[in-house]
Amino acid sequence: MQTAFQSKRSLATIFAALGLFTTSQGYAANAVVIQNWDGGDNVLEAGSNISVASAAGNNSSYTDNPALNYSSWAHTGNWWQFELVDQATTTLRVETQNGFNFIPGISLWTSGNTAFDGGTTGFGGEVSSASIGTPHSFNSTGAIGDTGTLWMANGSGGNMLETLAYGVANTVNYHAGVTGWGEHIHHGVHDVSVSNLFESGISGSTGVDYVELVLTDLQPGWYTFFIGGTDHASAGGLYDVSVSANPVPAPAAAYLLGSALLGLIGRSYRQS
Amino acid sequence: MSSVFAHFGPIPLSLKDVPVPEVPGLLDGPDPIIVDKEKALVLGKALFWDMNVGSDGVACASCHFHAGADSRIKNQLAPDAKTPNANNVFDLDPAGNTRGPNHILTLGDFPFHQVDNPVFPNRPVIYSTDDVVSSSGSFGGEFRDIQWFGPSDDQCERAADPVFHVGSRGTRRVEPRHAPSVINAVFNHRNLWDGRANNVFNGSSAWGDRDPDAGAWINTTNGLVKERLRLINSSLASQAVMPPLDAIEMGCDKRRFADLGRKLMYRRPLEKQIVHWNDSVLGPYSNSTPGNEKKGLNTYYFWLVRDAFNAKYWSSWQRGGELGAPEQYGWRRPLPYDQFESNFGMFFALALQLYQSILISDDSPFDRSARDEQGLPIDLSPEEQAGLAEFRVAHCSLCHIGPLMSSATVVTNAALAQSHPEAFGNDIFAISTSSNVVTRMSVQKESAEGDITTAGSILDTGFTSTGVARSNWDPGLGGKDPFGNPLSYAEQYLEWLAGNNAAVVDEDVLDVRPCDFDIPLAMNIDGEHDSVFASTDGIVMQEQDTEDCYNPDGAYIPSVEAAQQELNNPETNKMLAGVNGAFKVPGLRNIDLTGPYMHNGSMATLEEVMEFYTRGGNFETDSKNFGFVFPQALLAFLPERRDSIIAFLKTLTDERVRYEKAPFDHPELIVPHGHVGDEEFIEEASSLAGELAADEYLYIPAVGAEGREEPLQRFDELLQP
Repeated sequence: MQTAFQSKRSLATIFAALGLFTTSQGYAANAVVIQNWDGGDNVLEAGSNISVASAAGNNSSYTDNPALNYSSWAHTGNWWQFELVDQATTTLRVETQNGFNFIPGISLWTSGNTAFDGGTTGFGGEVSSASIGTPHSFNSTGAIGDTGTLWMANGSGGNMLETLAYGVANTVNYHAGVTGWGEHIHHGVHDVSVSNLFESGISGSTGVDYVELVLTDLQPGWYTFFIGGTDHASAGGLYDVSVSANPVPAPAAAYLLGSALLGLIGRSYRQS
Repeated sequence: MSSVFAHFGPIPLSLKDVPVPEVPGLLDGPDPIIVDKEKALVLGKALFWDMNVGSDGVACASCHFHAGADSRIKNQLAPDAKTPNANNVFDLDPAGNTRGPNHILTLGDFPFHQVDNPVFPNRPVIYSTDDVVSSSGSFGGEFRDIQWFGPSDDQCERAADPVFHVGSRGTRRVEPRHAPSVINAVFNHRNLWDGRANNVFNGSSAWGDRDPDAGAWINTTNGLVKERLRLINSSLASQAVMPPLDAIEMGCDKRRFADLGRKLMYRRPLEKQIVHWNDSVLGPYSNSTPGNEKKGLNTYYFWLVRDAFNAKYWSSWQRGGELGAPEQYGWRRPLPYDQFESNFGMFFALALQLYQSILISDDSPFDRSARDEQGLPIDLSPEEQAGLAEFRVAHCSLCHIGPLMSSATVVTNAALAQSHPEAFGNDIFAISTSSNVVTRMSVQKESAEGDITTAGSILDTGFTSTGVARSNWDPGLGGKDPFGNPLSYAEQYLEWLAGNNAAVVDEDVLDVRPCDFDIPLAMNIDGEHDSVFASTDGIVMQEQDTEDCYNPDGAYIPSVEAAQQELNNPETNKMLAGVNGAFKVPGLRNIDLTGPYMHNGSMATLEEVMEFYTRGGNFETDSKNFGFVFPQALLAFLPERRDSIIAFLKTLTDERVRYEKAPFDHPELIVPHGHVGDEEFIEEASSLAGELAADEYLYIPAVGAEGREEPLQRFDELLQP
């Protein structure tokens, strides 16, 4: 979690989650297609795992396409969402299959207690510096409420509450001034959350062909992520996605009872 | 929201019951131009198929006989596309052998751009050529005279062409762009790859309102008066008056339509060609009876024209005067033109337009299928339906949109946008579909140094670049007309924004409504924007209403001053036209039969076309629509997905076209198909001139309304192995 709020707009979006704002005009939803998980299961319990094998990734749908001023391209990347039903530290991993040349990037958002509605194409008439409307081009790393996110933002074109994190495997370093929406897109894993409502920490790692995000104590609710390529010179390829929620740890009272029982067993053994 | 996969973007529409765009004044009104539609149809079909129209045996149909297109394989190569920078050099073939005039095309000649793995982007190029596969036409030459009767080749000064020859013998010249199908062409707002066949027919030339001297001669009580026509939705008429006067396609140089009228008027239509007794249009006039095939119709062009057209266009007895006369080349003074001859271009153009207006293929399996509540064709096979879904996901249906699968059918798509919104998009992706002849999208732009960037640009609706060829191989829509005007609507619109009203030569430009652009040109926003005019730049509200605007926030245009400033700014990202190297989006009906593909005929099979789109095109070019044509990993790694798209495309073939049943039946045609010999040696001289090569021919028998027994073959099936 970042130590300060990004902007008043982001704060407003958080308040919107608490029902203090209403949606604006032009709302339509379904701007992006949410993919299915293998087995059709998008519900994640603690101690379980859901996955997708052999998704196809274009070369630069996440970043590195100069035609979009390096911003993300919603309709050529892949979208998934899952519902976490137990608080759990959750790991999200995207990894390229052997022999393929897909260099992944991923962004993760939360829409709180309701599934992401898909956002609204062209909400607010936003146009990037590359002259592309949303979400054909969109801001995948900025806070909800930043330019290029209205199409998905709660209180505007969608119901997304907060951008949590992003990770980029390619060694790129794009910043405001060159990107389509003024966003930053940097190599590595980045915690861009503005609150601690949904997790208590974000970490992870990247390699040449994978990105892993680890969200500590992720709260129950709906989470959406977008995956695309980050190397315009590559051919793209097939990749696998998995999301795992750690088991719920045993509570302290049970630990104490267990310790006491062990003590009794031990004393009985010594006495005999 | 459901997490089930939702379908992406526009759904192509059935063509059944879709009306042809209206042409007010042609057949209706108080003083129609055509007074007998049936006779005009007979005239039009006869003229389209008649080999006497050409100066040396070429008919319109000679390049449009196979599903409305050209499937010939010999002597079909041109060394360049249509460019002012032609190098006139035939390139080597992929195996390194010389290739040029009189070459017989093989599968190995294709595609004309090859990379080491055809489905991936950024791969090393192993072969590329700017040669073009198109249609062999005329030997050319300088026109001298026609013959009223008997021999029908025109008298011309002919010689071996410096580019098209084998040894010292001249071969027929080949067009620099591939011949598109005439079937369904009536729906195109403009025709030809670069849109130069104007939507408005002016009575004598292809240029609509651009031509200051155009018009038809009217017989009035005060004598002959030249009057402009202004028939809208008549780009087929505009197109028809070009090939017969073109020295590559059909005619000797400097031949006039009045000369052609003089040549034909006292001849029987199709006098050298068998007409089937049961031809769906010509049958009642055919000299044939069942079991007894004969040539020609039982009338004369003179009578057909007089029956079909309003008398004011042919009834004068005046000869000469303001009608002029043919050029004099010898001692004999030529007979001056009369009104019939002088208006023959108009008769020809409108009759051909009327005939092509009935060539509509709306009975394919795709059209026949029942539709579900979304509009999806549920009678197609699972693979074909999957192919349609892929066709949409892969962004194909964003340009190949509407019932003709082309955004170039502007009037038709606009008429259907309200009643069939599903055909033009949904919540995920919609294409703004209105009567606008231009829109705004982000496309590539190429600097003089060859650097590629992208920018919001005004585009002509229905024209785009997909990166088939290099930007300087063919300017396409970026070209100019003979009067110096840009061909494109987009460039005219930018001039109009900057206050240069005189630059608008096509009236449709004045009806453009900015709030219907796909991305806005100007918005009422504060601050500065790289590519959109903001209020600080100077904007004004659009003149038109804002009812049903595609993008209500874009209901503005820049002020004249702001537009002028940006238009004069060489670094502008606001006042750009994306037209250089853009070509008309072709329709996809009967596509299985109309190879080779693209404006340069560079792909022989639909598989090669699919590989082209899967890798995201051949080149990063000026005006390339990068948002619609980009590398597609799903299609690259899952070839069955490409195959399913091809399966879907094959459902667009109308069986009547495949079997040439009415209205696609036709007279006999004898098509020049290469020359006697090969590409190294011509074995025989032409009877036209000793310096020319003797023709070989493709014999196409007459077909009646019941069609032919054997189906038309695909282009790749006709190629040599």
